[in-house]
Amino acid sequence: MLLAELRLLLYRLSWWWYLVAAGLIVASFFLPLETIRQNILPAALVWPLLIWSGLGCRETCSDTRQRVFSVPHPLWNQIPLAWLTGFAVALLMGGDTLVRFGLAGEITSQLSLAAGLLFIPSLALAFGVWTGCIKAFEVVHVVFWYLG
Amino acid sequence: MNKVHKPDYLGLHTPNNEPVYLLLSLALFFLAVLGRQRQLRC
Repeated sequence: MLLAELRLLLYRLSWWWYLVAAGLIVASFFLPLETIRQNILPAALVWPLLIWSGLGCRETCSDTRQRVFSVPHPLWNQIPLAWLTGFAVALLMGGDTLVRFGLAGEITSQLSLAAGLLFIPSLALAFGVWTGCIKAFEVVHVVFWYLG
Repeated sequence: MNKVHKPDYLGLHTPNNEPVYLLLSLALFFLAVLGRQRQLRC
């Protein structure tokens, strides 16, 4: 189910999106930690914006609520799964930096990043469900990203 | 050369703020659950 949810979020993206994402992931493995902290990590945490913004509001945007919500246990089968999918994407983009921080003994940075990776899908899901559109999370995330 | 530090408006780089963000994440998750419950009732 997680893979199906991931497929739903990722299928509409073009090949160059994956190319840049792969570049950011690979760069996080090999570049010096300071470069990652200043340039790569901020880019990696804003690049999947269009994926995260679909969390919780896809049913409303595509007007499939009646069909999607009619499955058994629509609340506890769908919301945690949507969050997990968003977290998996966050982990994919920031997980290698998390490991690098750990290897360098920067536990404070590691904890901050881990908290951030947990926070992003929660924010996306809450905004998606309550606003029913992708724009609100996109604006708030970009503001967070810029200020943070 | 002096290093220019960006202000940490959101406290993302302040040590010991992680529990705040963890609690916020949990609160936002349950807010999403409440929102979906409301949608299901409609």
